Amino acid sequence: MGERHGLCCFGCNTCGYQSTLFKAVCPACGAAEMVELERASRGKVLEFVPVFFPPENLKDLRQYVSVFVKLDNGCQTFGIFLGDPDKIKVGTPVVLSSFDKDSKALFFDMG
Amino acid sequence: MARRVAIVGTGMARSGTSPVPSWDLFAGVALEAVKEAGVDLSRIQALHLGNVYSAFTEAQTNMSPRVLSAMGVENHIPCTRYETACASGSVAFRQGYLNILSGMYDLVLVGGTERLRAVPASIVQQAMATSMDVSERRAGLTFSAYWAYVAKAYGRKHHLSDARLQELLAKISIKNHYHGAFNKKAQFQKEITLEDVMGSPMVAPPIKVMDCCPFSDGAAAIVLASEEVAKHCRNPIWIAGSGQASGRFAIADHMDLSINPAITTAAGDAFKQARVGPKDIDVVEVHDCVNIHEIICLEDAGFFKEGEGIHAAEERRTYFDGDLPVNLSGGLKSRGHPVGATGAYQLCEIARQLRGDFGGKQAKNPQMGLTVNVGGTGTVVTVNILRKE
Repeated sequence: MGERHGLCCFGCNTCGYQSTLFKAVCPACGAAEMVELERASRGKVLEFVPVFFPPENLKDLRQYVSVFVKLDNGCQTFGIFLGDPDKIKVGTPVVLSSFDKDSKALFFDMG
Repeated sequence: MARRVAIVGTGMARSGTSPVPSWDLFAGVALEAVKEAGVDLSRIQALHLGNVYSAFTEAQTNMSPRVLSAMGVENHIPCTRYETACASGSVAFRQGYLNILSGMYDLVLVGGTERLRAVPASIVQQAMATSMDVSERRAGLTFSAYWAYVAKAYGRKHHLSDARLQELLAKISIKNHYHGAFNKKAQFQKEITLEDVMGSPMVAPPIKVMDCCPFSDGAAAIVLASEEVAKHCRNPIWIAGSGQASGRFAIADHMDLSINPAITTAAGDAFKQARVGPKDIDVVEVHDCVNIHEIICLEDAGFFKEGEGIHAAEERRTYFDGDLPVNLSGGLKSRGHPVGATGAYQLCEIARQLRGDFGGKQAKNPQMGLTVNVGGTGTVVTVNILRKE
């Protein structure tokens, strides 16, 4: 299992429960069947929040839009929206644009 | 449960900026609490201490024996430091309570201490961020952004426009500053206006600077005693119920950010132990790190139905003379948020409310009070119910 980031997602083979974090057993049904799911690079915006005071690893951005995305494989993740902030809405299709190895940030753009 | 446990002594430093290290700050309030209890320091049998960020902000770990050293206690009593983010102080309290309940000890010192203001705010922000999941914070999620997601989820669920949501949130900050203006232990002892909140800089819409609590230095200590010891102390306040619960760690795994089921679980356990319900509670201190969280705490603990708590401050129901006085200390917003000590402050404040010697806005003859202390992004929750007899 490689380095985990927001596009990794773990699902239960028995009951279908999903989580962004690795779990030794499924918290929903108790099965030891949590497997890493296929990564999806497309999804839709569940919610978004402009961030005016970025953390240290994102200081260079000055400000950005945080997006909460439901990926096409059912996983939910957070990322940074690179598109026009005036055009983003709940339900906007987005696509994974890049993964920054230094900051380990996920970037999404309009899908 | 055969044994009963009481708070017999309390001590609090003024929250704000401390000129001394957190261990020395705690030593002062510990001696205040022991003096109030009327017991000799040598009779204390154990120390449980809440502290979160001393490794980042004071270059010091191994905090509990450091605190004993600062107190001048060298009689080999056991001591332990607890780190459960912002809930550390109340978790330390609960462990001391369980110590006595088990029959192991009769007199235990608990509390919390934190010093955040001696280092640049950027260091504190980095330290505090470590209480969130590392992958989510690397993905651009900050604490303020998390609270913005919570506020937006709440607003959408209850059909509040952005403007109305911001106005209602502002009225919680105004209420807490009103109470804090009378609390001599508060960091900000001044009232604020709607314009102050609405005109403050935006952090992560709809959350503005004046929706958020400050970083604070502070320490609070409590002496807990078994019934055998407490019956010889002046004015004991009894622990009627104590619940603790854990929430999901990954924020992305939450289906509804406007609620926290861990608060409901912890409150349910505490109410069941105390054999009372929300209507029996006369005064409350809850974890308003950001004002929307005061509402989440009150609704999920059962004081209001979902969607109703947001109106309570505007309707003055949560003012000191309302039907549910909330955060008469000023809450985290005005009293301050010395992270590892905050839960201990809440318990000291409710104990003093029940004794009638709080030293600020006082609830009218309260018989029972409750605290909700929450760590991280709702991941650790304690609910404690105190009773006067």
